[in-house]
Amino acid sequence: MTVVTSVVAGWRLSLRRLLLSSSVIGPLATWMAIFVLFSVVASNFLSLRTVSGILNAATLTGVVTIGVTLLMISGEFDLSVGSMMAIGGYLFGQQAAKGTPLLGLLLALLIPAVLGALNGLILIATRIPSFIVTLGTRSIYRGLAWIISGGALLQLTEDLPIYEVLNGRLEVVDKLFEGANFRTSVVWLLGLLLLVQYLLIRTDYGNHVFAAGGNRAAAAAQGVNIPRVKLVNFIITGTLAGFAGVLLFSQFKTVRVATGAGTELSAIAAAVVGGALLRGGSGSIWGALVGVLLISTLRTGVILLNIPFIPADNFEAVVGVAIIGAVVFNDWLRRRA
Amino acid sequence: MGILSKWLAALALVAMLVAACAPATAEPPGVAPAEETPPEGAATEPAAPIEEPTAAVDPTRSLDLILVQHALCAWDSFWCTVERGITDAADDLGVNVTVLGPDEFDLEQTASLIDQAVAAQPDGIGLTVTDPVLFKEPIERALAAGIPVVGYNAGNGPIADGIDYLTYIGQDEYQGGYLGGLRMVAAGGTQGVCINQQVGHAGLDKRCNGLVDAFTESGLQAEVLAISDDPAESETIIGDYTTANPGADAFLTLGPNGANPFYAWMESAGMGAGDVVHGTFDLSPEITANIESGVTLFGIDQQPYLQGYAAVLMLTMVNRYGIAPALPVTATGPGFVDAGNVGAEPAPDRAVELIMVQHALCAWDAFWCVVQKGIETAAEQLGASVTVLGPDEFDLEQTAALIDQAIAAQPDGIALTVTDPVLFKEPIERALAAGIPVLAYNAGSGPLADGIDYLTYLGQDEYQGGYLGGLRMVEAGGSQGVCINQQVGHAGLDKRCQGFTDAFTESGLSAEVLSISDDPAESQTIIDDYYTANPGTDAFLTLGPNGANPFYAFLEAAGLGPDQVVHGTFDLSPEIVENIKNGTTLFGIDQQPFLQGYGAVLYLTLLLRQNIAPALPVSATGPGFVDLGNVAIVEALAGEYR
Repeated sequence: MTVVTSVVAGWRLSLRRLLLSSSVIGPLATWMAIFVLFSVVASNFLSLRTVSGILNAATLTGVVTIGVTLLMISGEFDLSVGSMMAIGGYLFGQQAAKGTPLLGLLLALLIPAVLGALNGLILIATRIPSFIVTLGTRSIYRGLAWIISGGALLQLTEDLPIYEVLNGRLEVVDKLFEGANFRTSVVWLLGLLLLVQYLLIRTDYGNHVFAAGGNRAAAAAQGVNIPRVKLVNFIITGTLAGFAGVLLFSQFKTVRVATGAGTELSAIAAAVVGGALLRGGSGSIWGALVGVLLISTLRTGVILLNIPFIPADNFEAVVGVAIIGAVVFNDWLRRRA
Repeated sequence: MGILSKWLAALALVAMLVAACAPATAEPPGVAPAEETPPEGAATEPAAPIEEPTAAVDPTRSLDLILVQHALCAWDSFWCTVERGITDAADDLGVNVTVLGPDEFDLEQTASLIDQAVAAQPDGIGLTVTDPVLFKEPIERALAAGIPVVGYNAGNGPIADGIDYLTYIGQDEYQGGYLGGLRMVAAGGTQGVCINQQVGHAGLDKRCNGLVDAFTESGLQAEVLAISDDPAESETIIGDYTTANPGADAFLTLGPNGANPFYAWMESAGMGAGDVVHGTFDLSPEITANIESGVTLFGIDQQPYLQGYAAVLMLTMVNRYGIAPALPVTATGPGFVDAGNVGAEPAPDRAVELIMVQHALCAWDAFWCVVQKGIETAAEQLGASVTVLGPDEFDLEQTAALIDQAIAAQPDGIALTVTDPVLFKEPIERALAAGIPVLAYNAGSGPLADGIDYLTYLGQDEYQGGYLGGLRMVEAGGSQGVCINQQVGHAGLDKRCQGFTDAFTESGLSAEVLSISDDPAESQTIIDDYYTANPGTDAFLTLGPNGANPFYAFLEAAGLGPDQVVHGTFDLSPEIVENIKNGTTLFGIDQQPFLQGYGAVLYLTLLLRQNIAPALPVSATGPGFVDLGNVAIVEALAGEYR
């Protein structure tokens, strides 16, 4: 009897600790509630087609959001991710057109990584807030995309095997389930998520990231090289943005100068819905993913509901209301915990 | 600082790498100019690898055309002007034209001449749709034989006539009244009267509607006054009306039958030039004299020369380049004859020197090579000398400076892109003040919308693109439509959707707008969700490659084919051309840039040599529909003529 009680008590304790320590619970609860709600009220919501659609819509933003969240935890922003996504798409697509997609993949990861480093270096050298630094490089990199592309839409019609690996249909799963439309990009997203989550939770570097965005004096006292941590996070973010461009091109075989415009704000919205604090020091990669999914689920649900007074071209407004609602709820949960 | 300098060195290295890569990678195969928004003129052309040029595609080949009209110059002098236009066009374009007509007004005989024309198997037939009921069957026999047909001078357009010919080339009656009304308001008219000698006549009523709308939109009043066939009675009616409405100061008469009693009333009331504003439709010796003396502000001419010229031109364009007329009605009138051009004689041999100023050049933007080809082709065919000016890179300030440079060269005419109406307004007005005629092509919104008094804007009519596309989709079996808009709030894109939904609504069907985003993965899911929620949707319009691209992804994932959905799109891209060819996409709408360059040179030359002015503020070069019927020719001529 005592054993049972102590086990239950232990569970309670760890649950409470989870609530205290993890910012995933809030968004997760919200997301599950919304999911269940739509499953009940929208007759055609609960299907593999819908679920895979929600996931697919979340992948590109999701990959970018991983980096953006990591940066936000360390107290910085990156508004240039959308532009780097376009650059990644072009570098990959142009090489794919020449028959050297692997070189393209390399360039599409490397160049945005360097551009990310540039963001970090400007921040370190000038001490201008990253919001302003990347507001500037957002335009500069968009200009770079313009130069690389010659201002032209790049569209290929030929299929390459590498596209199937990067963002093809996940035939293994899709064949098993009628109506499912999962893509390999979901696997990439999941893999990156686990990788960065491991980095953040299981390594010293992860602690440094939290420390850099939290109490700086304390972090510096512990010997955390704050500038280096931030620099590395900018590089990771740039690389992921470039990779998102590659994933985009692999499915749609199209990239244009404006590709990725607006992704920076979607990513920040997702990170915040997922429990990240704008001032840094707190947040979670899982939470951010849930944030992306939550927004994607809402959009799908609202369209499927076919509400007469919310026509399909007005669902963005609902998503906006939900973003604010989710953050208010997160805050309330955090204070209770 | 050590780390920092190392990083900067690495950055410099990579920057050089990028710089070295960029020029080489700038033009991979399958590159089309980016299309962000339609009015900027950055429309997408298929630069898809040209596969096998169709044998029939020869943009310089000679053609045999037959024109059938209900009257001839031989016995009705009105038609001599039309036939002069026909002959001039045939000479300019290097085509053979035969004109057929009855010996006297005889519709039965005219109808049988159409059949005679079909039997001769020409490359195209132009005809007066004088009696749409009687001519319907002969015209449909021509269409069934694969011969392109245009109507001119008489007709109401393919939609109103219920016959599927390409376009009707003639006067736009409503616009005549409307634009005339605006001129009368500008001349100081405050209370308008439309003097109608035959209330109930559709064409005349449209003229009056136009006038009343022009006054109403200007915050003024106007109404219709019915007169009769008896000039003495009509003069009294006008007198009684003005006694009852002493404020009436702007009068529009609908032809010599209205102008004649109007002048009589003016004389008896002791009025002269400057007392009231008078405009009229048509010209007569009496009207011409009154324009010269300043009593009458303008006479509206349907420009018969242009009717003959355009009929030959459009049949030639269809055959040689697969370029089709944009609208069901191609307006040759209203052509305004006023104190500035009354009595001007044609000068067909006049040397013409034109300067074109555009915000981009073929040298660095492939889209413009097609425009350039149109300019060069027109210059060669018309014997005009044309200089094209443009900046070395996209630079509006520099483009504006080039306009001033053009003015300094004192050319006979300037054509330009009104890329920025605010920035370009002053240079354009300097050109107009120097007496140089100016028109716009590719970028602009027309003189009224831009607030600059140039002649016309040659570009795509966005609303009609959506509307005519919608009608095509309804005809192809579409019953519930959705307009997939990647940028709700963009005026040009919204007009396309508005036209599309109107076409469905007028057909007794429903259509709505679906907003998608810049993220194609997200957009694909949005379209899929919308389809799940509205499974009856079977007609999808996308507004460019940015919408078509995720739409195709949706079709593939959902396993839908052309049997289940009708798809139409604006613009062309390699992917869209592929899908037109395999039957997935019903049509791609092209703004026909060749026609923009060609038309700009043609209109200015016709103005200088024949006193022909563009009829409307916007001269539509698009929508040009690319479908299974002409995709081969379009693809074969891609990058040059298309």
